[in-house]
Amino acid sequence: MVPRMDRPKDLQIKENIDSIALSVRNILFASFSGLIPQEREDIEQNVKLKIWQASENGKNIDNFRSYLWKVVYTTALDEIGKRMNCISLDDLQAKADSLLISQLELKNPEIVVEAREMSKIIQAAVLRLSRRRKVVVELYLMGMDLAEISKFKNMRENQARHLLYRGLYDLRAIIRKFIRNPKIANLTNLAKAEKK
Amino acid sequence: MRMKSGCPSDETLTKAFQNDLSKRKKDNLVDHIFNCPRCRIKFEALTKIQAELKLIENNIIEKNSPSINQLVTSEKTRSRKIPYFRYSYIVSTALLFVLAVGIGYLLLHQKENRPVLRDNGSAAFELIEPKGKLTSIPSKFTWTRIPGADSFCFKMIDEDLNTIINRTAYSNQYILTNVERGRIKRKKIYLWSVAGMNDSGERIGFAQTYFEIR
Repeated sequence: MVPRMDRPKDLQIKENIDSIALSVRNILFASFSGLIPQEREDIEQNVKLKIWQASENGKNIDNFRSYLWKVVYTTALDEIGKRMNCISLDDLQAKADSLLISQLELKNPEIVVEAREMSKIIQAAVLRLSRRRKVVVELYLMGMDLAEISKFKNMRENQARHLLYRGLYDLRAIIRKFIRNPKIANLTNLAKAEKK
Repeated sequence: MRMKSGCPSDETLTKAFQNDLSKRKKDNLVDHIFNCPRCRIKFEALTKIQAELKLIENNIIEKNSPSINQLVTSEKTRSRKIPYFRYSYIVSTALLFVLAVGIGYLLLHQKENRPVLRDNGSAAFELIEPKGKLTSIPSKFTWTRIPGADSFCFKMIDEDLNTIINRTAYSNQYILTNVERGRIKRKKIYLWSVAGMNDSGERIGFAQTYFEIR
């Protein structure tokens, strides 16, 4: 079902919604490599239709933008949810580990440790940071840049930058300490203990 | 709509990206996602979508929806009526800022021309030049030798904490390239530091100082 839109204003909306649907489609394709053509077509159709229908239903809603954004997020999450069981947890973990290490730009001697082990060390080290720095550092290690962190945390970019730089400085120092200290053998237990 | 026990619902994730979650809940959510690869894939996708939507956002607000324009106008009107407690908040923040700047200025003047040495059981060394108030943009940074150090991490940041240079030097000096010199502006304070590293990559000395070009 394609909604009827004849007026110039409606055509403008159509153009923008098409552009949103296209972006969401591309992001989902990038999130799930190895999709077969049928799956790609399904994603494309679902995303377009859901956003179209929602925008048609919500045209008279006061805060249309907020409503439309919610629909976009929900549609993307639905599509991801459907495919989540097809992804190997090991692959996800490996991807997360390599992102963690590349974000920290670790140099010798840190990189001599195996990626999975290093990732555990980083996760345990993050727990030692102060609350405010920790959250900002976690967002950075998950691939967000400063502008995205400040928007997500609803804070000024300068404030986010300060927390991030101080947090990363502390984090590197803790990591070095962990690597040098042979007593910290079981990092999983350490992480659990620190959470408590 | 929970995926598995402990994982946040899709609704919670959406709320986080629409700034509809309290600060505490949002922080707890980030903690969870950081340790959960399944939630992380959703989070990464939403982050990318948020960036895309930001690009499209202005276009939609300005051109497409009269109801949104009304909303924006009413929000602007509302923001003009700043309640009393906001004024007091602004004034107290400004006073604190002035106080902090004053203290910072005094401290900088007391320590002028004297590098700050951090003693963590390591050998101390000195930064020779540039430091203090200068008349021209420096081209060479020098420091004293330190026994056992075979490389030096040279870092320079500006007063807004932007990293200007972050390089490794293998002697007791660093010569700036023309591009790096171009990044140094007059009337700004720059902090530079050098960390001496031994062949195991351990830091065996650290010093920092500042300079300002008039």
